[in-house]
Amino acid sequence: MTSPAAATFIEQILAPLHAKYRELHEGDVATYIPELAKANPDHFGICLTTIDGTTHAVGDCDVEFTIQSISKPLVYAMALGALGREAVYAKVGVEPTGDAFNAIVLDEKTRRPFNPMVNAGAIATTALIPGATLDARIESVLATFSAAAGRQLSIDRRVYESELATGHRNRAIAHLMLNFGMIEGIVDEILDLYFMQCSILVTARDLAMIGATLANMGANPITKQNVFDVGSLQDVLSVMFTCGMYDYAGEWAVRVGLPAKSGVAGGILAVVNRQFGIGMYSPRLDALGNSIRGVRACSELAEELGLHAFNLMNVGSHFMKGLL
Amino acid sequence: MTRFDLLSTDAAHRVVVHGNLDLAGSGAIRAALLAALTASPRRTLMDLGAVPLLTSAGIRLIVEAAKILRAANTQLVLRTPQEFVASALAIAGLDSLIVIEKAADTRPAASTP
Repeated sequence: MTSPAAATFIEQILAPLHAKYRELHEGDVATYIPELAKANPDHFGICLTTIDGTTHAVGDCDVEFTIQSISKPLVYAMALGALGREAVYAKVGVEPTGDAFNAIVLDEKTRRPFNPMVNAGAIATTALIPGATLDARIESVLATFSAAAGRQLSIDRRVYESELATGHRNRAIAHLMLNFGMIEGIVDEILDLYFMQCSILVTARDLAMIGATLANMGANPITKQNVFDVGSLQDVLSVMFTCGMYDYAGEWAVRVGLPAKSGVAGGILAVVNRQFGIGMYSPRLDALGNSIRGVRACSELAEELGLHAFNLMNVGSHFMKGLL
Repeated sequence: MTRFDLLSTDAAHRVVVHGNLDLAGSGAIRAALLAALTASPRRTLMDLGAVPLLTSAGIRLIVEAAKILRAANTQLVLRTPQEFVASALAIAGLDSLIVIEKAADTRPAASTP
C-alpha cells in the first residue's frame, strides 16, 4: 500500500494544482461532433491511481465523458496482443507525423497509416480486432476497456450516432485504406466499431485506473485481471510517448516526458511505468485538440513529481543499476 | 511564499530556507540563491529544517546549487531535513554531489557561520 507519508505528499501536490488550473478558462469544448458541444466547460478532474490500487482524486473525477481518441492505444494493445507486432506492423506504422490527426494521408512508400494514434492508423488497428461478428468485436472492445477500468463501461449512443452521422472524413480515410489493402472486410462495420470504441463513456477516475493497468504490466491493480498482453506494452507506451498528443506530441515529450493520450472530449490518460496512471478531464481544448487544463496540470505534475523519463533523478535501466 | 536567509563568513555560507521547495517555492528563490552562490562560491550549509515539502522541482534547484559549488571545488551540505524531505533526498540518489546531515548528525563545526 502507498505509505501515509506518500499519500499526504500526493494530496499536497494535487489539491493546489487543481485549485490553480480550475481558474483557467481558456479554450472551448469540441464542436465538430455535435454531441460533444454539450459538455460543461467548467468540469475539471485530476485523478492518480497507483499500481497497488490506491486512488487520489480531486475535482470532477466521476463525470462521464466519451473516451474518443484515448481508445486508440487500448485497441492497439488489443491488436498487438491478438496478432503480434509484425502482423500489426504490416498494416500500421509507428512513425510520428506532423499531419493533423484526421489527415487523409498514408505513408507514400508503404501505403500504411503512419501510426495508430492518428485516425487512419486507429481505423486500421480497429480493423484488426478479431471476432466472428460485429457485435462480438464490439463486446470484445467494451469488455477489455471495462476490465482495464475495473467496472462495466457503456457506450454513449447519442455520441455514437452523432459520430456516425458526421464521420465523413473517417469514411474517406477507410476507403482509401481499403483501396491500398491496409484494411480488409466491410468498411461500414469497421467504422461502426471505430465510432463505438470512441463513444465509450469513462471518467477521469476510469482513465487513471486504465493508466494504472498499463503501468502494472497489463493487470488491473484491484481485480488483478490480466487485461493487456505484457509483451505488447512496451510498443503501446512507446507509440503513446511519440505520437499520443496530436501535433503537440513533441512538445509534450519535452515538457512532460510521459506516454500519454488525449481525446477531444477533454480526457488525458498518462502512464508512469510500473508506478501509476493519471487521468485528467477538462473539456476546454486548445487548437490542437488537447485539454488545456489537462496539459498544463500534467506538465506541472511531472515537474513536481519528477515524472519525466529523463528527469535527473530517473535512472536509465533499473536492471543495470543493480549491476553497475 | 518561500524565502531564504543568507548568513556568510569568509569560510562558509549558511542558507536557511523557509517554506516549500516545490515548483512555486523553488521558483521564488532560484534566481537570488544561485546568483549569491555564483558570485561568492564557498562551502554552503543549507538548513532545510523549515522546509515541510520537497518535490522534484526543489531537488533540481538543490542540484543546480551543488553544481555551482562543485565547479568551484567546494561543497553543499544539507542540514536537518525533516523526515519526508530526508527520504526524498535519499531516493534522489545524489550522495555524490551533496552531503546530508540529519538532525542527529548536526554538531558545531568550525566553519559554521
